[in-house]
Amino acid sequence: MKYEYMKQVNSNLYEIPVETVKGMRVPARIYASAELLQDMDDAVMRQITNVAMLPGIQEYAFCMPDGHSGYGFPIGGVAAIDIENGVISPGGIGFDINCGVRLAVTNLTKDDIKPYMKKLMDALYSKIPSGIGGSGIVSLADQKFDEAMVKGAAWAVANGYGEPEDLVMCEEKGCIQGAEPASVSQKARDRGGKQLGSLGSGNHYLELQVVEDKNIFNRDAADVLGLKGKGQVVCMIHCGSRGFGHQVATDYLRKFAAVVNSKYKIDIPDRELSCAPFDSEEGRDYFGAMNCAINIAFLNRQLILHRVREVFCDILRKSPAEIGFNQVYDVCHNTAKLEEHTVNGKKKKLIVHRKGATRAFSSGMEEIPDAYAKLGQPVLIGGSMETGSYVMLGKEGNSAFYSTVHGSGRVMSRKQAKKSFKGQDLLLNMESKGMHVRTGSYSGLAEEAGGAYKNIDEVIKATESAGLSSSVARLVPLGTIKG
Amino acid sequence: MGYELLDEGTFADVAVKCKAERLEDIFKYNSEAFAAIILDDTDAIKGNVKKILRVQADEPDLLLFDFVNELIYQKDVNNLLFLPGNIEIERQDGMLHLVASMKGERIGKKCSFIVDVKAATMHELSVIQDNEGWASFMILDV
Repeated sequence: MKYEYMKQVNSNLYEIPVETVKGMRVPARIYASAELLQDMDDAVMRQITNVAMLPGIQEYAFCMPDGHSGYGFPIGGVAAIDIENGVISPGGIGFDINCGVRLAVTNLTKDDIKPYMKKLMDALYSKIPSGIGGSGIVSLADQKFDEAMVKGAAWAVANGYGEPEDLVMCEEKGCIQGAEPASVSQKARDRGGKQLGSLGSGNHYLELQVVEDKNIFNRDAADVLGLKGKGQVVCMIHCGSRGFGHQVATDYLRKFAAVVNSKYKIDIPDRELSCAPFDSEEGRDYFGAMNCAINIAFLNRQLILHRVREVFCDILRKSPAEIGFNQVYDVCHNTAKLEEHTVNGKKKKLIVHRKGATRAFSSGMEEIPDAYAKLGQPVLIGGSMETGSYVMLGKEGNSAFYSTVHGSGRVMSRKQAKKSFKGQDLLLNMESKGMHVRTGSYSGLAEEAGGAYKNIDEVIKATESAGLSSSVARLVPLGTIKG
Repeated sequence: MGYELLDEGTFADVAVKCKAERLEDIFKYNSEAFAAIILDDTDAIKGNVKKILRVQADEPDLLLFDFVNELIYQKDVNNLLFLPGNIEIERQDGMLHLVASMKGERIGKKCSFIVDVKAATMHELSVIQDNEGWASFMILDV
């Protein structure tokens, strides 16, 4: 075993016992195959152990199979915390509040769009703001911005940026309750107001992907989700709440750091885990502001999808109905949400922190669109730009508070990746394989090379074996836009 | 003396380690590191825009946290990236007051970017003084 203090629970689950480090309130559990555990860096273990020290945490601090080191929580960290005697922590959500993934299908095949591919990619790159600086598709301030913070994707649809069906096929219907614009600072408004409808940079992307028959693992579910195979083209969008969410998290991290010990007498091992009781003035204010950021991220992805539809209609000279650009689903992977779960036989209301982890409700649970009620919640897993992504479904019996992976997970730091890969070579190599890439940064591209990430197929295999979620289809990249 | 970009303790983000004789230079090196994380070539910052940034905090580490967040705010809101000019820090009434004269450039498509900096984190954040001078460590979310 890589770590002496760790015990193996089964072939895909490892535990750090509660007595390992002073201050742990519950054990920490890491979902991983032996190979994936080997690849996880030591900081993941330190960070998930720190999470286990948070007041009110229930059962276990979990780390998903795509876990890797971050700050505060590891990426892939999950903590379900009792709202009556527990805390809320911005470090358990991350700065990019409601970073998430949206997937839409088309009626088109890769052969249909092959003659237009260059034009499509150029138009998508020029019409969808990405990278650093610049503006978004929409700019909002004052009352209109407040309205958007409360309505999320519904604001976009009401203002002509999308279809009502988009809202149905979205976690929280694209509009989480409990948003309080009064809890949002002017700085967050300044940073976020002009970035609405923009991808950002780093690991965010817009990708055209292909569904092949051989990559469909659950045909019945794929049919319901609209994944037809036969070279079908789909579009995946990965981004979050941009500067708005970053500033909300920064504001409250600073506020919580000032009160966590002095006012609330909570000892934390890492200031990034600064927190306040959920039922406190600071806790309630952050929850209200965070919900605004969740809605702004839904709005952001909605605006981008609408622009993608416009570009397709324009370049292909087809109507939206002919293209059939239907949204499959939209998931969050950086949130803290109020959910009811059974703990020791009792139903409890918990604030479930997921940082780089996706909610994965099973069939029969609330919050799933009627069309998917018998399947379970779609889970959208964005892999690296060179390998592929997955569509999965929530599964009954998930013992990590119905949470699962969110992506491949890094296996190499950004610095290591830049030493190992050259952006221009990478681009040429991808294009030689028939993949189209548009990027504003070769260095940024190198940091996101497929080799910098874990093998997505291994991550998915471990995820399925652990009973966290089940595979429906693998999506192969065709064209990637990176900020 | 100067800054170093590290990947210690975080795969997804970037750590900045600085050493300096004076506390003021810790802020100078951190602002240089900030620009170097974002831009392929910081020579693109010609200094056409001059701006004075002011932050205050009760501890040096929180002063650095607030200063870097001010750089992020200027980048997002005013499309400005800076290199440092003169930086002064004074302690008054138990608070540290920083006044930084910055030389900036409006960023745009002409700049060659690496990656955006979203936020300063408090994970292992430190600004400490020892026999050799000052040292800082900060992880930036990118």
